[in-house]
Amino acid sequence: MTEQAWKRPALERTKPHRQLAANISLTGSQQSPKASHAMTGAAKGAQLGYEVSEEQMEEGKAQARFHDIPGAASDLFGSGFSDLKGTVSSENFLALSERVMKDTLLWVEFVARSVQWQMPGSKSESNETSKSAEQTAPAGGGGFTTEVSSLQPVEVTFQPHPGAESRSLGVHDLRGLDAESPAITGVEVTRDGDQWRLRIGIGQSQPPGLYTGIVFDREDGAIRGSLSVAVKGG
Amino acid sequence: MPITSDSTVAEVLDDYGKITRAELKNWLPKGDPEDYLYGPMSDYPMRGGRMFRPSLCIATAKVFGASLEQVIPAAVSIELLHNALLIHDDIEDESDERRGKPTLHKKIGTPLALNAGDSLAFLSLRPIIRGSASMGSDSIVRILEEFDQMAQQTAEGQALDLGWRRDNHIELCEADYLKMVLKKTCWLTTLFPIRLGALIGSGGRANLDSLFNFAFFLGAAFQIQDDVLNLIGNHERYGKELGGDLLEGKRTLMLVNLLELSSSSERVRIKAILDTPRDARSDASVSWLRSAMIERGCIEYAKELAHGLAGAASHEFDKTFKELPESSDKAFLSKLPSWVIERS
Amino acid sequence: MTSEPTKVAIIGGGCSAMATAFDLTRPELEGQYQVTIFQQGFRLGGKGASGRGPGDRIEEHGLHIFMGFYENAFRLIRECYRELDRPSTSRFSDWDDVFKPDRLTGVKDDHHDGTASHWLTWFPPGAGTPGDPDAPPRMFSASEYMARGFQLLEATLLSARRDEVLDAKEENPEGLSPSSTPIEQVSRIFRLGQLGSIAVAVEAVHAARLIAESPTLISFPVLAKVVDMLSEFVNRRVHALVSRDTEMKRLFELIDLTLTAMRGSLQDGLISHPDGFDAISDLDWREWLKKHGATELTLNSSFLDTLYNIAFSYEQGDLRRPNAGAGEALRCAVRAFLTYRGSFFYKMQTGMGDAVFAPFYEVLRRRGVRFEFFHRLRNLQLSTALSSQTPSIEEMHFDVQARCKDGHDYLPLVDVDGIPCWPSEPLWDQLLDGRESKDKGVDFESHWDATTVENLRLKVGEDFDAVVLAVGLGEVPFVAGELLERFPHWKRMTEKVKTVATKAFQVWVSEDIEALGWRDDSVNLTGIPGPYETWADMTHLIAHESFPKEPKSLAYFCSSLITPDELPAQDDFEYKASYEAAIVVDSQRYLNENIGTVWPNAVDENGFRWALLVDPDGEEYQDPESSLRSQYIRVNLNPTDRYVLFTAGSSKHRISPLDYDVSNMTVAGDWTDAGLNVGCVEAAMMSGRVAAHAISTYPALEDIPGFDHP
Repeated sequence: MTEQAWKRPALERTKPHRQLAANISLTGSQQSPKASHAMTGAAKGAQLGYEVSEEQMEEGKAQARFHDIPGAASDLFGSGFSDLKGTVSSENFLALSERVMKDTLLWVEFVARSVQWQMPGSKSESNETSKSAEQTAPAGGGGFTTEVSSLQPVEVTFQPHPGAESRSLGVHDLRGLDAESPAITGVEVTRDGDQWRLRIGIGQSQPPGLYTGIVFDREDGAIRGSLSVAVKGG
Repeated sequence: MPITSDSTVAEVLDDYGKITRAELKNWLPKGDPEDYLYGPMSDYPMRGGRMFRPSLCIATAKVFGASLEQVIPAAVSIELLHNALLIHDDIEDESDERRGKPTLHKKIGTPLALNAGDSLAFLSLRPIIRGSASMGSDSIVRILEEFDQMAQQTAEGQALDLGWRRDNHIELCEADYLKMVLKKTCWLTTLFPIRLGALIGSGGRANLDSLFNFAFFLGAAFQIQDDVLNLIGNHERYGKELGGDLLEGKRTLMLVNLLELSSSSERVRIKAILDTPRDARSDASVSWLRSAMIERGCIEYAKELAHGLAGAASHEFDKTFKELPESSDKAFLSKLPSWVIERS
Repeated sequence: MTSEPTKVAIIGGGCSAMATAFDLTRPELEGQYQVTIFQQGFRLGGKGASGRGPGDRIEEHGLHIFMGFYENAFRLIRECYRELDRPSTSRFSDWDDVFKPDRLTGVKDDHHDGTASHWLTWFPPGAGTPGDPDAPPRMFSASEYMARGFQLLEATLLSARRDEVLDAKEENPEGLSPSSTPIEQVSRIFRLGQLGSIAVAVEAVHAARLIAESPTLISFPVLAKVVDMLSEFVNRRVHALVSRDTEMKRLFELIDLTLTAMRGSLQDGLISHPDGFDAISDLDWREWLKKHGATELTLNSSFLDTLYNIAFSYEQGDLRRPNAGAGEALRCAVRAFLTYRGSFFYKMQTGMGDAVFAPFYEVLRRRGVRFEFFHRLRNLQLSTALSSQTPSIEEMHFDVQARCKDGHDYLPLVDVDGIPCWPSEPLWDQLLDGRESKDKGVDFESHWDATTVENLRLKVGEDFDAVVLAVGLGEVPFVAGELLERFPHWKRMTEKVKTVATKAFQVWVSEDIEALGWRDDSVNLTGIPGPYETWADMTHLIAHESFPKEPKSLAYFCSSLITPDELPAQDDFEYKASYEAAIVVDSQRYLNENIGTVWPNAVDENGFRWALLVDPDGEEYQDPESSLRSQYIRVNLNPTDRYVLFTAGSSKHRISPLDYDVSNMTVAGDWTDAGLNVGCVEAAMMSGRVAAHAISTYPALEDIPGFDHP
């Protein structure tokens, strides 16, 4: 054999690409279209549109084909892009998403609270049997009073959203953790001047447990707070 | 029913479409040779259609201050030209169906169809020039310049599209595609109607270039959605054969995206499919292409891209139309970006 | 370039070798590579080899379950079946006849009070099927992982309380679809909020996912906060529920694990780290989770144990020494849980040899690949070039273990009910002096059997041009001594990348698992106490075997085996025998003492009911010893059979098929550095494809799914 011995071909690279950071597009970062696989189609659509537009405008100007009115067309590509990037019908969507986010946090907080109740000794318990106990809502619930009629010891937690007092409120039935338990129904919300009054009636046969429900806005259906009642059993 | 700010896009299109079509009829010549020329010339315009382009022109002109009467001739011209180009497109693309019926050249043969298309194109200038006589010669010159600009851009776009197909060019990126769409579709579909409308409405005072982005993004979203519908739309409403673009080897965003996502061996396969003449292209290969586009999310991707463009169009609209008085026509224009991507 | 094809010698016939051979002989390459596969003994398959024994029973090295993320493995296997083109009447005409989705997995929970309960987890079907001929790059993006992490949480919550949230799901079958608008989400939270706290958590997670998926909102601080809050919620919840509800406890362990991994990735900046998950490879997986605040419960959970068990991740096979590199574990976990397509698991409907290696053998032969069975590599001889130059392989020395009669090629397959299968023994009749070898008890696959009929020297340029070293890692020191001497990093690799011996036990039983007392569907269960941690129900295979008296159920057990790292000398015949004797005792004890936790009815007051075991030849035995010996028990001690570990800090010592140490050689196998770096079929197949790339630059690295991955 006189020929050159076979050798492995030269390779373009010898390692995997492990950095796929570009995949989360951080606000305002400018990426070239090639490096933006994971950029969403919508964001890319907008970006490409502006890029092509810009190119065409430059081309057009060079050809002096456009009938510019002097001084009028200066703001074409200046500001619009960065705040628009990635939005579809922008403001609305953002606002809605924020609301989902807020509601999420409400729920997490809300459930965490119910857990707290279940932890032995984590919270003081009101043991007296109250025929008609009246208690004010915890801090942050200014302007609200809860009124409970119950033959069993209960603990009520009401968590209104800021600003809830100026809305027209309703309360859903309170459901138990245990799907079989009957719901606590007929929670009344009334307004007395600038005071809100939540009236909750708990029957003697209501099984012990944690019952939770939502305080909502009668006008737009938005969540305005949460209400939970822990029935401790007789 | 009068148009109000609450009218839907469809209602406005219907209303302006009827007005335009009624006037358009007056411009279509009658008499002999009826079967060979005048009949075929009125075939497409009389088939209906959405009348998107004339309506866009009318609404823009009115937003800029024109009366309906002032802008109708321009709307008619646009629609005539559009129909003329459709005849040519159908021949160039070897399409079989248009608005739910056989294409003109399928009905009467290519030579007569070409001739009818040419006549329609020449005819299309007539209404606008006659109608603009009162606006003074400066305006007529500018209208003609707009016309010229649009015609050139459109021809360039069509040439790119056809050339890429003839040479089976597949090394295309999304920006290439958008440039082609800008020229081929947007000038005639959105830029020209909007610019013309603004020109007529403002008596030549409006800055037409400031409308460029809105019109371009709107048109591009429109075209992408059109291409999406060609693949997955409702045949009856769409009016062309489904998947026709695949048969024609048309360079769509989905195709560009598919090529980008494909391995080199798959690219070879796709290229081979595209290289086959339309008649020899098997149903199997077309349906493979189509399902590859669906499976790899190319269609979803195209929809998203169209969404992005429509969002950008909305944004541009807010920016450039904010100083203009509120009106039903302005409301109509503002609804168009979402309409183009939502129609099915 | 001459028009002569390049002669490629592939040493070894396991998964990686099949992948390399398959990629190098694709029609697109127009015959540029003439491939020969050198295989010791009588069958292909490496650790995946199987054989048909008495009663056509399938005898495996261990338990092989394919996972839904095995993109490369499935892609090649699917292409292989397409090319194989079996008649449609065949039972196994296409890949999906052979690989069936398996949606359930069980994790055994070991209570410390002596009782035990199992846990079945449900994973929703993933879009498509593995190996579909596309792999969108978005699949492996960090943002996708975040979003899918939330999806997983949702699925987990739903599986735990399916009844509770079922109504809501039915009401909105597209409930998990990200396409519903935020406003719909809000109203859904509204409705579901009434169903109880799990449903609330589902919705909280769902909304968090929406945020993760939303291009406009995604930002690390926001996401980190959400994850933090969820974690806090989970932690409290776990503590509140630990003493009352084991199901809830397990559920929250899994959630805690997921959230911890997400939090850890955000905190350690893995998403933007140039080395991706390799950045945490020096830590043990459990250590890393601990560092990022996983609860003690989670760290000690049977779920986490399972992740170690699946990959035999115990040094020297010792359960007290768990060790799994965090980077590799995280990568494998996100691939497994978040990128599977079709089903989470796929179970083969026949032996792995018959499902995978027989089809590859047939297709490769058709493509002109030559197979040299009974060829055991003894040495790779390096060129005596200057130390500054890249050496080449000059000669390869083989021990030929047997020759066929009349110079014929060895034809290794037998027909079992219309399907070409591997026998569990050589087809002695084809071999020169085959009878004698059989009577002597020759074991061509044993490291401790030096049977040789001829020494063969193959020369570079004449007999071969290129070499792909695709033997098992344990074998490398025995065949590549010159390389280990020449290159310190090769030596270090063989020291730092560890292997572990394993054991396997297959049991044919005359009652079905329900009668044995198992109350759920077919499972792949790990976490049973005793010498075998893993049990998989393989009853579906019985139909493909032919016992005189048909068993009703079939169980595979497997586990790591405690052995020292060092192998005894090749003439130490006691080594293997002593482990084989011990495993019989172990297995007997296992059935007597441990099996009752999953099969309560298989034991009575005297221990295991030995009459339950079915003999493949229809014999009936009374004594435990004989009954047990009628079953299939195996220890995998051969260096090439030892399972490759990915202990903390070892990955950086691996050698890549792309490394250029020898000018005409590359490496392949699940011990190499080829993207995934864990011991599995997928890693081996990936490595084989990367090796093909090193030889031919085909396939492009970008076309090997999962190679480019954080």
